[in-house]
Amino acid sequence: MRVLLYATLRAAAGTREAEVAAAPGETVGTVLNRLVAQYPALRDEIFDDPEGTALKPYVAVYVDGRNIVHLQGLSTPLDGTEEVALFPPVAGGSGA
Amino acid sequence: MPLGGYANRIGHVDLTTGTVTYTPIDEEIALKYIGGRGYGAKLVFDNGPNVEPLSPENILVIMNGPLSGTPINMSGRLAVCTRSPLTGTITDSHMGGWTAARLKWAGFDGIVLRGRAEKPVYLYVENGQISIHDASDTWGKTTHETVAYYREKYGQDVSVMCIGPAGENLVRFASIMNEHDRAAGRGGVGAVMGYKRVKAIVIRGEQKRMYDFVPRGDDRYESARKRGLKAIMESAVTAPNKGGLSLYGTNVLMNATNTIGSLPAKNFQMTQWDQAEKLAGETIRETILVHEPTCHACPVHCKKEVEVKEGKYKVRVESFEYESAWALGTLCLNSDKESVAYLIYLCNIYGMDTIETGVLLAMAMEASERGLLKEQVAWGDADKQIELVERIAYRKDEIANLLAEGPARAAAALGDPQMAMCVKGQAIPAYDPRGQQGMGLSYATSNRGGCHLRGYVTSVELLGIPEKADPLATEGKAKWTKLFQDLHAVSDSLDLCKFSAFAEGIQEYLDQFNAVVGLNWTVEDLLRVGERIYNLERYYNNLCGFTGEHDTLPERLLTQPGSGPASDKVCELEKMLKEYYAERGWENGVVPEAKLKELAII
Ligand code: SF4
Repeated sequence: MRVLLYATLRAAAGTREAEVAAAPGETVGTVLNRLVAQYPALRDEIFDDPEGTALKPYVAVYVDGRNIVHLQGLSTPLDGTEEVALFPPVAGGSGA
Repeated sequence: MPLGGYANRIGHVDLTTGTVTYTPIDEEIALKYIGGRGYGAKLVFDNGPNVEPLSPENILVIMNGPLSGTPINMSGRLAVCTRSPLTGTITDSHMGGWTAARLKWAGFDGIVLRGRAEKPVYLYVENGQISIHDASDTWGKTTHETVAYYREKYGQDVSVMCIGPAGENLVRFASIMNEHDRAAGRGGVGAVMGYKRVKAIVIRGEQKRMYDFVPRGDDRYESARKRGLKAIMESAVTAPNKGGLSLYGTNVLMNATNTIGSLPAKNFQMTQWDQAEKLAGETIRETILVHEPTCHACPVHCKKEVEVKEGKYKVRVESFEYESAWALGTLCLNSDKESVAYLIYLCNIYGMDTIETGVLLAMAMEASERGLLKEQVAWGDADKQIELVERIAYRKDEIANLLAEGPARAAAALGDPQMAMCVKGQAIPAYDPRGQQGMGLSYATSNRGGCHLRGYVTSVELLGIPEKADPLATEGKAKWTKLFQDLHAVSDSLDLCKFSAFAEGIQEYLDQFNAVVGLNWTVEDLLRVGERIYNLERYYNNLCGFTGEHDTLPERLLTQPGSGPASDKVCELEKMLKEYYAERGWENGVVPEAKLKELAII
């Protein structure tokens, strides 16, 4: 499946998007652990622990545009057709 | 003992008579409304609701807060307050750069402009004195030319707040600019300055004076300042050269809002766009970024200066901001970053709000497609956008003259007011309320019309600060909206950059405020001031005839679903609004007398 990377995560992985294997029924956590195995520089950017069981605060993972914290977190099941997007903390607007 | 942080001097400029008088800060007002937006709103309120925005009776208040220009981090901001010619509401718009700091160092908390000059003038501000001078040499010039002219005359170390041709021609969404590309963009504050025939305010202030307004060496002050700085340096958002805001600027948001389906495109007909990446902060950093400027006392450097080196859009401009790139790009389906940079530059030199201009052009594109506007303005046609911006700034012809009135008035005249994506006559910014329900409530209840900065609910809906809230849900949004509105009223009155809220909390604000001003307030005291300011502004609007009827959104957002994750969503405003009024203690958008008394407004 396609995993899209944004902002500093792009720079860390050296790519805008990654193709990661995902079988139907596998969870977001499994896919993300496969992703960091492919791009080791991402591990510390995304996960809070070496085992890859907890996300860093403010790192946002979206499945088809829905933040997994509003789904089932890292246990959110995938069918492999979704698009996963990963963001480091971002904010902005404009100040006027 | 006088309050710390303040210069204790306000200049009152009567442009009709050409006289300047000075008063100290009114301590009672300062203790109730702090400074910046709060103090300015109180002066506009006291001037009365029955003033025509474009009349000698309206006042334009340029106001610092007690923290502006001090060594407190992210304190380089001032507020411009007036009755808006765009919305008819009370309004305030803020600018960064060094103008606020230099105004404080020149010995002023604020300047109040009254009346109307007979001929164009500029003000020169230095060392506690304001003088009025003939501006016939710069009237008609662009903002960049005006800054260059006065820097040549007075030295490169002055700040120049000025208007461009749009302000002179009373374009209803004209901005006031400073340091070339920093804007008090919203609400038409530049048109009020233009009406008063004030081309520029040139300010000289010596930097070493920044320490005069703080208790240097005092433990409470030093530790509060350092804790604030530490929070900024360590925040995952603001940390210099690490955080998303520092590295990519505000435009780091383009891909994020697009992902969650809250990026308005094609005049809010869509909430996702497959071309957005081409304008996003990541792309800009890789391609046309040349410099990363900052404001007074800010280590974040969120400004992203870009350069198009050749071709017909050859330009160098400092502010490729999210809202600007979105309005002039995404909303108009123009994905060409070079022409968008050029359009931002044009808005800046003519002195026009980029958000209002983009929303206006998108409205014109829709109107043209539907045959309501008798001119071909195709989606994504950058050269047509450029042509229109130039015509509007000078009100060159009948169509340009109509568009210069702003999207709401123009759409109504063209036959369908619902084409104007505005609240209370001011354009809605770059977060679609179908993909971010809370922002819908925040827009609808904003006292200055469509605005993302009255209550930045995006903080919980997208970023998760201080906690994560589902952007598609309505639950809890009334509470968040009120809290952010009150909190921003506080930071706008201190006056600190709002982006400080991505690192600092109310406790850091409080500690720095107490230490500088010399008080022992609590968090509740500070938030109560925020609530008081929000209610004062609302009361002013009520006196101008605004009620709950005006706390609404364009029909499109309430009836037509968005795209992507928001494809089955409309903004469920009614539900949130009811809860919000209950939170506020308002009756159908009106502040009852009991509330005014409770907050000691009357
Ligand atoms: S964060 Fe950006 S806008 Fe705010 S003070 Fe710093 S440089 Fe200026």
